[in-house]
Amino acid sequence: MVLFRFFEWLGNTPWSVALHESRYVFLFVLMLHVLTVSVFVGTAVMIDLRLLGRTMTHVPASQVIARLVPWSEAGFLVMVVTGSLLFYASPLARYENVFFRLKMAALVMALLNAWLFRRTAYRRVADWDLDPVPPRRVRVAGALSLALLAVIITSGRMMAYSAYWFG
Amino acid sequence: MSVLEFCRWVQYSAPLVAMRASPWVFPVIATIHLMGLALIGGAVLVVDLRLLGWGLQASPWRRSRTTRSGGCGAGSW
Repeated sequence: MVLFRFFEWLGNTPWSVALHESRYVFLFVLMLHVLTVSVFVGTAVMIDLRLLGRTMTHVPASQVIARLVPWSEAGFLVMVVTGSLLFYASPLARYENVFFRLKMAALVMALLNAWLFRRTAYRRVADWDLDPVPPRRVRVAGALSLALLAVIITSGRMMAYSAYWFG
Repeated sequence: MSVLEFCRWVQYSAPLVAMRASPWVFPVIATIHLMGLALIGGAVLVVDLRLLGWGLQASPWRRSRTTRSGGCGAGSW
């Protein structure tokens, strides 16, 4: 209820209303969001596939990660900023959207998975850096990340149909 | 057959009429479309960056397109 009240207030702030009612700015932010989702997910998927031993097996895993992570993080950053703006444009509608909640849950789990991977398996990357197919726990992290990215994209797209199905 | 007639024919063809009648077929296709877009976004970005000389310089660019295993769909480069 506290959140509901807060988002209700947030949605009535002048900038939120302006963004919601703008014809082009909202669409421009939405376009940037999809574009940066593509950069983030696309590069993250390549890293995950390397962790699964499915691509670039001739390149050390640490090198694939070191080269791709900056792009993945840059994409993630712009994606989160534009996503926050899209949320800000109509906070209550997003908050009440079941797919939005699912997306946020998957996003948090994906971050947690990446953080855990960096704290554990990646600490000992030297042990498996050159393996074409990394150890099981590394592959699990990669597979989990792939699955969560799929949930994020799916629920993100489904947000648009929530009212149609459950409204 | 003009373009308009062709589009009209496609629009009222049985599979597309059925697709519009279903509440979930279009969303599912839209989701797969978005996933493909995301994959291509990353894969093409990496190859293009290599061509621009902004990343993966240590790998010959020819190799950045293919994997030793022969590739696996959009993830191979």
